Formats: sequence, C-alpha cells, structure tokens
Amino acid sequence: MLRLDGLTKRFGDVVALDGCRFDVPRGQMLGFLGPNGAGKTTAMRTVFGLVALDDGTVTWDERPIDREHRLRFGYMPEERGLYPRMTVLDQVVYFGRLHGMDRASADAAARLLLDQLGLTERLEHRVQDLSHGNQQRVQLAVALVHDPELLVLDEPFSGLDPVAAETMAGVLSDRADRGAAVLFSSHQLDVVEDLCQDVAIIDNGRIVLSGRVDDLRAASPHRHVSVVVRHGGTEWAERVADATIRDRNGDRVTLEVSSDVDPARILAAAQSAGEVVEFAFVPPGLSTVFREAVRR
Amino acid sequence: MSVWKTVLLVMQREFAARKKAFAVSTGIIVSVAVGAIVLASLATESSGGPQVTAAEADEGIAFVSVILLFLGIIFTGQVIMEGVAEEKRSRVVEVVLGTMLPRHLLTGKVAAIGLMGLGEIVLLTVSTVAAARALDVFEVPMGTILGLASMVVWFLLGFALYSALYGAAGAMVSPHENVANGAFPINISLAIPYMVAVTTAPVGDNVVLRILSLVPLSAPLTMPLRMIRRFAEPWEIGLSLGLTVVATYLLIRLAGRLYTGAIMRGGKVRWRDAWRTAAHVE
Repeated sequence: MLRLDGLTKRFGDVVALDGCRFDVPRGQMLGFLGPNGAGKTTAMRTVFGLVALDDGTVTWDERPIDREHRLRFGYMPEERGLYPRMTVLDQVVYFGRLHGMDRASADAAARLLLDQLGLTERLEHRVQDLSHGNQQRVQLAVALVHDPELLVLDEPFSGLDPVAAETMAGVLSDRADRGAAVLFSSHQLDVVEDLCQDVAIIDNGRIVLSGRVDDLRAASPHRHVSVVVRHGGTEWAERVADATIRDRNGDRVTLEVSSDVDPARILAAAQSAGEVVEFAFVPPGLSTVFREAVRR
Repeated sequence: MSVWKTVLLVMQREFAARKKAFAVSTGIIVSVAVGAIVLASLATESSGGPQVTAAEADEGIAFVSVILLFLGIIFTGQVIMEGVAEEKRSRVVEVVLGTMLPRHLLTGKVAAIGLMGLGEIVLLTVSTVAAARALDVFEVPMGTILGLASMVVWFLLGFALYSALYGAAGAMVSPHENVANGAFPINISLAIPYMVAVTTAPVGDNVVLRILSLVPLSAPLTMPLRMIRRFAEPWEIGLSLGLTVVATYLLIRLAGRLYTGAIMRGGKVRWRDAWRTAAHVE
C-alpha cells in the first residue's frame, strides 16, 4: 500500500502541499482530483523522490520508499518525455532494464506490450517520427514494461481521443485487477467516475474529500431530479417549492433539491403537467461533488 | 540492482546514441592528420632523410598537444552539455530520475562521452606518431612518447574537471535558450591558458605559463606542454597534479550539486537557486 502522510512543501511563498494525506492499497485504482495548482503533480512527484519535502513521509508497505522500491514502480509524468532519437523498441527496453530487468526479459516484455498497444509496425521507428497519440502509447509502455507494483500517472487521459482513452482505461483497470496499486490524476471527471471506485480530491495542498465515489455522492446534501413529461414542457417545475432548476432541454428538466426532500412531492407536481415518462431522483454526479468540495 | 549497473546502462545508451557521430569525426580527424604526415613525407623525400630534429619535433608535438587537449576537452564538454540540455528539454529526465539519483545519470553520461573523447585523442595521437615514424618524417624521442602518454592522464583530469562544469551548465540552461550561452564562462577559462600556451611557448618557458601550469583550471592545458618541452621541474609536476586532483574532486562535488538542483527546474536556473534547491535533496 502506498501512503502519503502529512506532506508539506513550500516553494517560496507558494504552499504546494499542506499536510496532504491519502492511501492507495494494492488492487485499487484511485482517481486523484483537484483544480490546477492544487498540488497534484507535486504530490505524485514525491513518490519518486523528485521533491525535497519540508515535512511528511511517503511509504510503501509501511517502509520509507527507497531506490529499490522505485524500481518496482511505474511513472508517467505530466510533462511527457522520451528520448526523441531512440527507436520505440530500444526506448522501452532501455527503461525496462533501468528498472532492473535483464536484456532478454525486457525485450520480450517490450515487444508484447507494444504489440498490445498496436505499435507492432513501429518498433524500429524513432520516437520523434511518431504521431502524438503513438508517442503517448510509448510513454505508457515505458511506465508499464517492468510490470510495476505501483503505477503513478499524471493526467494519463489528457490529449487522448476517445478510442485511445478507452484503451488507456482498459490497460489501467487490467493492471489494478492484477494487483497493482494505481494512482492517477485527471480533469476528466466522467472518465474517473466510470473507472474508479475511489477518489481523493485535493485543494490548496490538502485532501478536502476522499473515499468511495458512491459514498461521496450519497453524502452530498443535494439530489438531482431529472424528469420528462410528455408534451408537458418544463414550466411546471417553476412551481415546485425549494428546488433550483439546473437544466431545461425540450420536455426534460433537471432540478436540484435538498437530499431530505420527498421525491413523491416532485413527482406529483410533474404528473399535474402531464404523463411522466422518465423520473430519476439521484445523488449528484462526481463533477458536482468536486465543485462543492473545492468551492469554486 | 546496484548503482554501478545503473551507471553502466546509462553509459551503454550514450555509446549507442553517439557511436556514429564519434566514428565519423574520428575518421575525419585521423585521415586529415595522417594525410598531412604523408604529404610532409613526400615533400622531405626529395631532399633526402629527416630534416626535422628531435628538438624541433618536441616543440611541434608540444604545440600540437595543447591544441589537441584544448579541442578534446572543449568538444567533449559541448557534447555533454548538449546531451544534458536535451534530456531536460525533452523532459525525459523526469522519467529517468524515477529510477536513479541525478548524480548517477550525470556520472554515466560524463564517463561514456569522456571515454569516447579519450579514444578519439588516443587514436589520433597513435596513428599520427606511427605514421611519422614509419615514413621517417621526423624523429620522435622516447621522452616525447612518455610526454604524450602523460597527455592521457592530463586529458582525463582536465576532462573530469571541465565535464562536470559543462554538465551543470547544461542542466541550468532554459529549454529554448541556445546551449552555447551557458558554455561561455567555461569556454573562456579554457581559452585563456590555451591562448597563453600557443602564443608564448614557441619563445620558451615564462612566468605566466609557469603559474598557469600550477593552477588547476589551466594546468591540464599548460603542464603537458611544459612536460614535453622539459621546462617543468619534477616538484612542479607533482604539485600541479596534486592541486588539480583535489580541485577536480571538489568541482565534481560542486557541479553534481548544481546539476541536481537545476535539472528538474523549468526554464533558466540561476547558480544560487540551483545550489539552494540541491541543499535539500537526499
């Protein structure tokens, strides 16, 4: 299990981390969320000793992380980087060997992985000659080649088209299913909601909310009510007391209400306008939970 | 996995990435040098026998050795600096540093490029001397051959001293800046002893040359010349070697710390900031 505990880091007057604390157990995929500049990248860098902390500890299985541990970790930094003039295969093999693999097993693992990522035809191409999407795949291969116990990925979904994003999501959940701890940051909250059970939300260097996505949604003081009244328009919703209209689209209206509101009252109001063909009373999505947590 | 294995892997990558460029440049330099010897041999053949005496040969070889050391150190230094800056520019350094400490990366890079630079100088020297002897262009006294062998020692020292500085300078340049800007102060400290040596040595030993041959930053360029010309007293050679070894050790420590402090920072890094940042690391 990865544990970040009490991380504190100042850059001059800027507080990057202010007592940040969370865990990532083996087999879990944790979505790490936060506004720009909240401290996500700095927190992730601490796992690899790339930040000299003012205070706090980073441990793996309750031991301070050292070089030997890091060889069993995989890292995809926010600023992607590869050797531009090295070929795809050489590059992945090189990083496999830096993580302690011998030449033969690094070569075999690299070929298998690049094949799975659809780069079989590109093994001998230089990285600088690849498209942006293919460079991203090589970057992922570099992080995965040694079958890491812990994966730390900073914005792995940024700049990916939907197909590539799906591949990335598949690869990450596969690694988590096989027992790796996976920590990744993202601004794409819908992706996070689909992919992980657990999230940690950081703001101003502190974890402001963390836990199961479903629990966090349920704990929200609000509920979203989505209703479609056939040919009924949306004017009826304006007469519902203690409700805020969030969205109108044709006959569909989305209301935000307090979690203790009785859904029957709203259903009754909708039925007075016509035939109700759709009615959902659900906790708000992750994006609302996120906005409430960081209050921006 | 041991640190040594990591450093060796870094060295292997450097060899693989640079072997073509080094083979080409070595090929060109060696053929030019040997070609010049052959031309000289053709010119002297008509007049019969070597016209260059051992003393004159010493003078010429000393002169050429200064040029070789200067160019050798400055060229390999540029290659190191550019290599460091490229890793920073392409941002691959963050992935690499996930597996090793900055000083391991710098050590591997410097050792690999240094060995290639040394190989180039040795090949050039050996092929030139061999060609000269075979074609009987000039006599090469044994003393000079020992002097040339000492060049290897001085190249290694001078290279170790300067490459660490070039590495640190490479880590401090901003990604969009011309790498040569950062090299300027280092190039100057190499150029001064070089200029003094090539302009004054033909006249004979002098006090400036003597002082420069004892100062660590300039000794690697000036002491070999004084040794080949037999200007240097044994105690001077010993003192100069000792001072340079100590200074090299200290400068490697200093440069390693500046490199560590600068390599992960974006943009141009000031010396003071690099020093301070590194103070916290490890």
